[in-house]
Amino acid sequence: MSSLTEQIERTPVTFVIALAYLALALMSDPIDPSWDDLIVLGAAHRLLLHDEPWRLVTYAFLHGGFIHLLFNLYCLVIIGPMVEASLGKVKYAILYVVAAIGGCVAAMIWDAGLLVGGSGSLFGMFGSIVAVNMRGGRHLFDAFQFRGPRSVVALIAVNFAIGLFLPMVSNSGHFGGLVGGFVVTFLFLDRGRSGTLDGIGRSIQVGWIAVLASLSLYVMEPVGHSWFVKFRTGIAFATRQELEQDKGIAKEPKPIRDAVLAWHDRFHGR
Amino acid sequence: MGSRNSIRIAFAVLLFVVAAIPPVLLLLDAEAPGRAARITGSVWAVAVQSFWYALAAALVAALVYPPTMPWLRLLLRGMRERLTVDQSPMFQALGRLEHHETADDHFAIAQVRWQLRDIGKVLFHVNRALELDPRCTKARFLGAKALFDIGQVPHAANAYAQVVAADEQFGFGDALLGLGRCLVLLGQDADAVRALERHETIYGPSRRALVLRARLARREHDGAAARELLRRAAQPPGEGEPMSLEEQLARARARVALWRLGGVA
Repeated sequence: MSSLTEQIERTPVTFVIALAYLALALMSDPIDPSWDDLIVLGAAHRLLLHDEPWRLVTYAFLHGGFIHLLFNLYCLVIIGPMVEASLGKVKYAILYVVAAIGGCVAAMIWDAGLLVGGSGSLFGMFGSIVAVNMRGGRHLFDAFQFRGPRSVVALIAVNFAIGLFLPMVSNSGHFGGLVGGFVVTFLFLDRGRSGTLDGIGRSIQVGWIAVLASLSLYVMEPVGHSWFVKFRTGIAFATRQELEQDKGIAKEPKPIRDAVLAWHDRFHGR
Repeated sequence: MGSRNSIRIAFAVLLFVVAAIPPVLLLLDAEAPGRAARITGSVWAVAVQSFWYALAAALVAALVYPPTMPWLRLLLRGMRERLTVDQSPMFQALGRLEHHETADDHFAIAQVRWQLRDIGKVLFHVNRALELDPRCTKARFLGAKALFDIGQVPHAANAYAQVVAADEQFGFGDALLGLGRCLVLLGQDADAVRALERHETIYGPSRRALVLRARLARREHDGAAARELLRRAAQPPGEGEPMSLEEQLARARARVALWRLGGVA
């Protein structure tokens, strides 16, 4: 027990994240939660982000079922403490949040539907490990002479490959989390030997912040979202009644149906 | 440095261009939503096509990139070795250890564990072998390789140095080369140059050593020396000259580095 307490003291943020996973799972149905429950608790959906932008982060603490929760919890307790010990508590928390946003943005751009799961942030941790190792050497690719960094890259590739064959897995979310975690660590959290940046380096930092902010704004405004492309180009869904009677929309959870109608009213009000 | 900065500037510009697209679409959406939706669809289609073309181009580039094939062959060789390793010497040694410990038996176990890439057990048995026989150079050499593999470069350098001190030509020069490689990574350039030049004196030019020396030359901002070393490393093998996979990989890397420095092999 004392070693568990010591572990928690050493890596408190990982512990808090794991507690959040469990607590939120227990607040719904940990085995097979309903979409309505997940939406209430903070799942991300393109139509909801405009009014509730916190879903860009909250989705990363929810899971779609017992196996999903177990797998992500296992990954978290294996790699989380290592990353937290390497970066420190505050930077690790920033990493988790930024990777979650990156994963959400990528998933909202590429996929349709509801998004839950901490795996975007977990992929972000993989990206962070790669970035830390690259920064640790005299040259960026020195690290890949050693087993550890090579194993991490192989693990990333294997996990992506597994995701391609499993249903309901958002590979774009994984990719966005990986890129987000790598970039935030490489450019901001662990500068390694590089020290102060030159003008071009600072421009690249600002550029990445601009890209993340811009794409986050984009997914919060459904410009080009398939329903709204149709709506805007006048094909079908021209009236509220048609929206209410549409079979595809009727299958969605109530918060999504309400959001569609709210968007319709918003557009008609313009 | 000029081309590197050009690439960085181009990348920064690309980031700002990508960041500008959504706000432009949102502004357009406020004025002409239908047109904004159509432009979004077009931009997305272009982005998706560009992504797939870029991926295909990256795959082709990876295949024609000189180090790719030797690297793949090394990877496959490693996998084949791990899958076909004969573990019987290890089990025989384990059986003998139950009655009497010897450095040779610990080394035999460490050797099989190394082939299986079980580094923890390798280091345990290497340490035990050295406790029993501090002059067991082969165990020390194996320990150096294992330490390097897990990124413990200072300890690996120390171990390699002890091997070289005991027998300069141990491992047909691999100990000297290993020492040189560690010293390059540690930034101990003068000692690295000495080790690598000593390796060339004894064994003749090795492409791996030449590539490492070229790296040191570049650190000293001596481009001409770096190019000459890389040019030598990039030379094709002579008639009937065998070339190990490691040397082939080094040659491929030398060709790429030479091209980047503006030289010709």
